Amino acid sequence: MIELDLCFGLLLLILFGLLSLRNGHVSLAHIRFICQCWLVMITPLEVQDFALCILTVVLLQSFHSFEALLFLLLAYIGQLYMMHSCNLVSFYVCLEAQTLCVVVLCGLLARGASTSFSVEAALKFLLLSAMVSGMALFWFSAMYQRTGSLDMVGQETFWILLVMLFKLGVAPMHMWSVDLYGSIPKSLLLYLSTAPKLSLFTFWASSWHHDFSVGVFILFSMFIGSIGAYGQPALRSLFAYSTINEIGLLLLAVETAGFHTLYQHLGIYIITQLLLWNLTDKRLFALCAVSLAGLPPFAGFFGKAWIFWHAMSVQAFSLLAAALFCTVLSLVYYLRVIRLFWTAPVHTAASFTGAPNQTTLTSACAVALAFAPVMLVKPFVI
Amino acid sequence: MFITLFLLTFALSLCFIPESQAYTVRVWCFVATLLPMWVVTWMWWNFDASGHGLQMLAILGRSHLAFGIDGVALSLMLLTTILFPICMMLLRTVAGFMTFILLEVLVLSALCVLDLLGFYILFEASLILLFLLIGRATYGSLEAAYKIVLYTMAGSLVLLPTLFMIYSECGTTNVLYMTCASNHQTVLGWGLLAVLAVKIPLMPVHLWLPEAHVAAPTAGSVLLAGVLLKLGGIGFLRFMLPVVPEFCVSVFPLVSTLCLVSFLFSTLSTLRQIDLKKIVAYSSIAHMSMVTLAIFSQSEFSAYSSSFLMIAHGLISPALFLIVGILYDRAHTKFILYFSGLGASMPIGSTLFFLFTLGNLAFPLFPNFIAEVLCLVSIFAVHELLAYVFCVCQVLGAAYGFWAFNRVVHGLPRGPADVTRTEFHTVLPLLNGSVWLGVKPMA
Repeated sequence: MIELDLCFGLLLLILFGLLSLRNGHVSLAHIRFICQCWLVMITPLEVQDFALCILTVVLLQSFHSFEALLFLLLAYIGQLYMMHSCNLVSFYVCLEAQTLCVVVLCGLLARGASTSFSVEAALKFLLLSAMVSGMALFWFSAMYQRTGSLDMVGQETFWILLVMLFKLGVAPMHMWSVDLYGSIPKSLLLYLSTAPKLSLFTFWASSWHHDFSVGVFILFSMFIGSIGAYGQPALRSLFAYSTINEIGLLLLAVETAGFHTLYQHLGIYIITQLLLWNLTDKRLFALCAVSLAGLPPFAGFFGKAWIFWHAMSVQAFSLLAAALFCTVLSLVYYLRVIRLFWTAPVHTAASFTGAPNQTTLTSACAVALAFAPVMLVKPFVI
Repeated sequence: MFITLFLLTFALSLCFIPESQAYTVRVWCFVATLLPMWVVTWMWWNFDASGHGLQMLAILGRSHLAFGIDGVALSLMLLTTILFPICMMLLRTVAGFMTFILLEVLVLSALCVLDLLGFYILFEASLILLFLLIGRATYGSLEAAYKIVLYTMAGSLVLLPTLFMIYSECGTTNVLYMTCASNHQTVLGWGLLAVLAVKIPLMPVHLWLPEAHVAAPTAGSVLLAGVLLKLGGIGFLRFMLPVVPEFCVSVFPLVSTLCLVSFLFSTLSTLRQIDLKKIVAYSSIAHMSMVTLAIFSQSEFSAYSSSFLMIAHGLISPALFLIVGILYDRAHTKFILYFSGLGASMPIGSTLFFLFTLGNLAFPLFPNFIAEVLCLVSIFAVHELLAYVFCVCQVLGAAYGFWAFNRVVHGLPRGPADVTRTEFHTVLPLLNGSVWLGVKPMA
C-alpha cells in the first residue's frame, strides 16, 4: 500500500537525517536533496499533486534546518491526502496535519532578533486555527450523530467551507494572515502564501462540491483587500492585503465554476509570489507589483482577465462589477509600491541568509514565466 | 505593421546594451526613431488613397491578431514617427530614452492593430510607462501620475467585460469581423465610450490632462498631446463607428453636449490659468472635443475632417509645448506672470510662438483652419444649431491665445536668451509641417 511505503520512507528519512547530521560528513544540502527526491518519488502522477510536489520541492530549497524540512514533508503528506479526501475525518486530519506543521514551523524558524515575533505569530495562528478546527470537529461529530456517515458527499458542508476559508485567509477571517505575514521569516512566508492555497483550492475544485454561494466572502475579501492596504507601512502587510484581494478573485473563479481560470490565475499568482519574495533587485520587484496589479502586458493581467471573462460568460454581473471596482482601488497601493521601488536608489542589498543560487533559480524560472504572457495570449486570440 | 514593430524591438534590444555614455545612447535612440519614420513614409508612398478599406493587412496566422492601416491610421502613424525623433532630441536620461522607445513601440502597434483586445492591452501597457514618466522624482508630480493612471484604468476596466462580451458573442475581437454585435450594442457602446472618453478627454473625465501635462517633461507633453490623445480618436473611428453605429447615433445628443461643455469649459478655463503649460493643455481638450463631435456626427466629411484636425492639432500643440519647454529651460518656471517682454529678447522664439498661437486658434493658412472648417461642415450637416454655437465659440480660442501671447511676449522686457539653434531645429519640423499642411492640405 502506498501509505505504508510512504510512512516507511519517511521513517527512514528521519532516521537517516538524524543520524547523519550528527556525523558531520553529510551536509544539510544533501539531506535536502534527498527529501526533494523522496517527494518526487512518492507523488502519484496526477497533475495537481505534481504541481504541489514541484512547488514544495522548490520551497524546500530555502529552509535550513532538518526539523523544518521534516515538518514540511509532513505538511506535504497532509496536503496530498487532503486534496483527494472524500471523508470528513480524513479531511480534518489532513488539514490539521498541515496546519499544525505550519504552526510549529512558525515558532521553530525563529532566529535571533525576531524570535518573539515568530513565537507570537505561531501562537496567534495556533489559537485561531484551533478554534476554527474545534468548531469544525464539533460540526462533523454532530453530522455523524445525525446521519451516521462521514462521507462528504451529500452532507451539509457549511463548516468545511468556513474552515477552508479561514485557512485561505478570506476576509472576515483574515486577521491572522495580516499579522502572520509580517512576523514570519521569508522562507516560511513563501511557503505559507503558496502551498496551502494550492492544496485547498485543489481540494475545492476537485473533491468537494459546495452548495453555497461564497459571494459574501468574495465581496468582503475584495473590499478589505483593496482598502486595507492603503495605510500600511510595512511591505509584508501590504502584500498580505493584496493576497486577500487575490484570494477574493480566486473565490470568484470558484464561484463561477471556472476552474481552469482558477488554476491559471493561481499558477500565475504563485509564481509572482515566489518571484516577489526572492528578489533583490528593486526594479524587478516593481515589475512584479505591476503584474500583481493586473496591468497589461504582464501575466497578472491575463490571469485576472480570464477570471473576469469567465464571470462574464456566466453572467455574474454584480460580482464582476465589484471585482473590477476593487481592482481599481487596489491599483492605488500597487502604484505606490511601484513608484517607491522603481525610483529608489539602487544600492547593494544587504546579504540575506538564503543561498544565492536558490534565489537565482527561483527568480530565473519565475521571471521567464511571469513575464511571458504569450502563452496565455494565444488561447485568448485564437 | 510588422516592419515597424520589428525595427523598434530591434532598437529596443540594442538599447539594452548598458551604455554608460549617455551621448552614444542618445545618438543610437535618435537613429532608432528615425527608422520608423522612413518606413512609414514608404508605407505612405505605397498607400492607395482611393481605396476605402484597410490596407497592408497582416494577419498572424490562426489568431485574431491582425494589423492593418487605413488613411487615418497612416497619417497618425506618420505624425507619431515625426514626433518621436523630436522627443528624442529633448530627452536627457537613459531611463527617459528607454521609456520613449517602449512607448513608441506600443503606440505604433496600437495605431495599426485591428484587434480590440490588442488595442486595449497596448494602450494599457503605455499607462504604467506614463505613470513612471510623470511621477518621476524631481520635477514630476505624483498626484498627476496617479490621476492619469486611475482615470484611464477605471475607464478601461469598464471596457474589459464588454470586450469579453463581444468575444463570447462574435468569437473574435477583430474589428474586421466584429459587425455582428447587434444585440448588445448599448452595453458595448458604453464600454467603449467610457474608456475612449477618458483618453480623448471629454468633459467629466478630462481632469487628468492638465495636471499630466504640467508634470510631464517637455518630451512627455509633446508625446501626450501629439500622440496619445489621438489614440482615443482612432479608437472612436476604428472601433466604435464600425462596430456600434446605432449606439453612436443614439448617444450623439449626450456626446455632443459633453463636447460642447468640454469646449466651452476648457476654453474659458484657460483664461484663469497661471501656468503656461496648463493653458496649452486646456486648449488641447478644446480641440479634441471638436474632433469627437466631428467623429460622432457621422456625416460625409466626418472621418476626414476629424483625422485632419487630429493631425493639425498634433502639429501645433506639440510645437506650443516645445516653446513652453524652451521658456521653462530658461527660467525654470512656467508661471505666466514671470514672463514678460520676451518679444524684445527672443525675437525668433516669439515669432514661433506667434505663429503657433495663430495655428492654435485656427487662423487661415494653418491646417487647423481647414480642419475646423471641415469639422464644422460635418457637424452642420447633422445639427445646425450646434454648429452655429461652435462657430461663435471659436472666437474664445482667440481670446486665450492672444491673451497668453500678450502676457508673454509684450510688456517690459525681462530678457531670457533667444532660441538656440538646436531648439529651433527641434521646432522646425513642426513649423514646416503646419505651414505646408496649411497651404496645401492633402489626404
